[in-house]
Amino acid sequence: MTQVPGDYVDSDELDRYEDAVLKYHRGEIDENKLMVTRLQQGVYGQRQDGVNMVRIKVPGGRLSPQQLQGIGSILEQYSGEDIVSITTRQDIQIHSVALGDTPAVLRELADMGLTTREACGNTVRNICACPLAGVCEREHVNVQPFIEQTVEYFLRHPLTQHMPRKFKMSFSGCEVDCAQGMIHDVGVVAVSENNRFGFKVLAAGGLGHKPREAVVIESFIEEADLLPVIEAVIAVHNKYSDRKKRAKSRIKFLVDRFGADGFVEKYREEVKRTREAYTDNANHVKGEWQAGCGDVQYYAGAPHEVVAQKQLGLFVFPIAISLGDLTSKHLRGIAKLLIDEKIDDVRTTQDQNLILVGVPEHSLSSIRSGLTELGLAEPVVGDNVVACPGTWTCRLGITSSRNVAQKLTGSAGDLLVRVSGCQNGCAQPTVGDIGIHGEAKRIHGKLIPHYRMHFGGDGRAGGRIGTKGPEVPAARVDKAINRIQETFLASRENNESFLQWNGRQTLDYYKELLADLIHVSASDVPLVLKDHGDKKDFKVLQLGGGECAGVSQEDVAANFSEAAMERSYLRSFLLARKYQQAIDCAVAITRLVGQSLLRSAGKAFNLDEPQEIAAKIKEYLPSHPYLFEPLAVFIGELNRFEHSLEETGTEQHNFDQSGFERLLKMLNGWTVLAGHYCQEKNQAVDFSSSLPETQLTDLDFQDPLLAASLQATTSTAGATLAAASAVSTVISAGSPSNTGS
Amino acid sequence: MTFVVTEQCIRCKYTDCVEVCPVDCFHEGPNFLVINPAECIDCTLCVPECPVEAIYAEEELPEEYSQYLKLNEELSNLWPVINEVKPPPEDAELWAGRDDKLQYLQRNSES
Repeated sequence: MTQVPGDYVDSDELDRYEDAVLKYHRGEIDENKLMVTRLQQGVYGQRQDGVNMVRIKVPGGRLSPQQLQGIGSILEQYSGEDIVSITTRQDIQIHSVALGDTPAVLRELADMGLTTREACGNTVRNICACPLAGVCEREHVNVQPFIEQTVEYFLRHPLTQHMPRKFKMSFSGCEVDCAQGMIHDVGVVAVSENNRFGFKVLAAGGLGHKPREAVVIESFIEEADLLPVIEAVIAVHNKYSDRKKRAKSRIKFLVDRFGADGFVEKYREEVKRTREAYTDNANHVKGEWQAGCGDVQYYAGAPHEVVAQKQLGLFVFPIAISLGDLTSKHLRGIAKLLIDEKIDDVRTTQDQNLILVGVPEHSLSSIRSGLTELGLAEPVVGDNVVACPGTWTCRLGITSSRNVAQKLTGSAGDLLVRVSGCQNGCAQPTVGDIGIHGEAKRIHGKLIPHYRMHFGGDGRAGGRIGTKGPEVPAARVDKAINRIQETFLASRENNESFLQWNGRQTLDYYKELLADLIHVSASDVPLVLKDHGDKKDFKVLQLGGGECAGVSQEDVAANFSEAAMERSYLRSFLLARKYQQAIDCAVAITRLVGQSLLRSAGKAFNLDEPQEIAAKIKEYLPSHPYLFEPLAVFIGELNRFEHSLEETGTEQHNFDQSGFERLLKMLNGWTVLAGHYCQEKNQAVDFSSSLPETQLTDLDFQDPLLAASLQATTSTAGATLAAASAVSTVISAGSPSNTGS
Repeated sequence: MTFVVTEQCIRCKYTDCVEVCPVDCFHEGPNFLVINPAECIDCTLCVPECPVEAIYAEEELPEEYSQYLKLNEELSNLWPVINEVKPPPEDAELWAGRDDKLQYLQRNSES
């Protein structure tokens, strides 16, 4: 059992979410303000008004029978549909939940140790695992504990709260990389090299409208190095990824911008810092590493038949879940079966199925018959069809992916067929044998639903992004896929795979093979006008875009988030007596917070020098001396500390550490004041969690009168001019160069 | 909402945008492209493709380009759909970045 309720769930957060929903219903906050919180809690808008999709994060796909049962109960009570969906990232989505019911759903999920936090928006999304983690004969290590360590580390982490765009990670237990690191922002792969065991790390891969294979940023790292390495990649994303153009803000676009070598260079700059600052070395996960049996041939990816585990006498039992749809009968039935058979490990897979893990030999037949009663069974050849929700519930859907998917098969060749309803490719069409994504084409004056085809893709090691094929009207795409499969089966040589067969075809091959299906004459139009399952003529809804990108992130919020990161590095450096680095962090904070002040005042300057920033703040915010005067003091003081190091050497023991710490307290106090000012100017984004917890009243000032005036100031963001001046005076008066001299 | 093609496209007419549009909502004139607001689904993919940054979201349309909103609507009703990339005019590079191009906008091939 891996779920630990306390670690992932924060009940205060759920209270705040419920509060926000109530306020929205009373008209006290608007839709945009609610959206920020809503997305942070994994609650998506749907195509249909007033109802939401709730995405449950399932790290590594691991669930317990009790959790399956609980999800079944939620489905019955709150969902407008009769199914929940397994996603291609091992999450579970509950559909059509009335907004007013979402707080209750989140609480019920929390009660069973499940979180939806950061399942959507510009966050670190669910982390995928290779399906047989812990039980595969090939694996070098069980990646699940490493995933949990990573989830815990980054959930609610300041660096991940205001990212330019989402961030997806995968972990695989061996070089085969069944979790598909190639298509992830970070892919971690356990490797064995000359009797050493560790991880290879891939980065900047991704699909969507511009698929790209990941690059290798570390060919070998020790397990203790894992978190600083991942943190460095996220730091690169935060620093450089485009925050304005949503379509270009995934980290993979930085490889276009900098080149692969340039990207790795940026990563190396960041990892130098994260490695220095990372102090948790003693507590890192220590895996049980082994060579594994390299030759064992499993079905690529999740197994499609019962397979033996490395643990003697235990088996993995896969269950075919058509389109990833689970009814409450399925959920309750499977849960009961598992509880009766004392099996507690059930996992979602990236191809939208379930696998039962740790099944003793004697239970296999009772599992099988129990599932038969539920109308479920092991996968069969040809049923590997993966689909996204498409126009059923998704705001971005262009075509009815699920409807056409139901008509498709992988054929006797057992191909992996992937169906996406739009170019965003959530069903990963570019890493399937045959993948298709929906779009609309205007022909003879009419808008006709089409699918773009992709061939011969594979997300595992040694794989590739599929080749772009022709566009076929939706009405004919099932026929097109059928024809390709039949041709493949008839002409394949020596039992070659579809990937191999496809590799031998030219680009024009498919155009010729499908020519009659591709072409739409004027008289054809009425026949191809409707999408699968539609009664009316095809129309693409204009729903104002999806929410997958979260709210457009203000640079200000990002700056405060980065400042929070610098504060945490600073602490580490101080502990390690790396004073120069600590000073650099403090300088970075003055720069970040100072820039935020200017932006919030409507002035965006690209200034680097804190002195210049301070001068501009004075120029444009003259009535807020408490915002620029302390900054001037900090700059002077930090210079002084830096000089003291130069004179005596960086690691000297007579560095005025307590003086430095007093300065930092005041720096935090100033950050809080600046934060209040900026928050007032940027109501749409809530970055209060990025501010230091310092109360200005915590500052250690001797004079009780001055302390009292500080208390008065902090009660409201709109400090009066007099009180604000008092604060600035106090901060200046309290600076180390003034006292004791 | 919709997206709007503005001045920088005139006489440059790079068609990179057309390649990525999932709903074929671009219409082609002699030296300009426009987006049909009734068809645009706000997917945002065209914006970063344009080499001269001519495309804006309606709500981010700069003041000086405000007339392009109606222009896109009007002209998309007159002009045919373009759904394939074609080479830009030979002198496209010379016209990139000029801020006096509205006067050169051609409504039909004769003018």
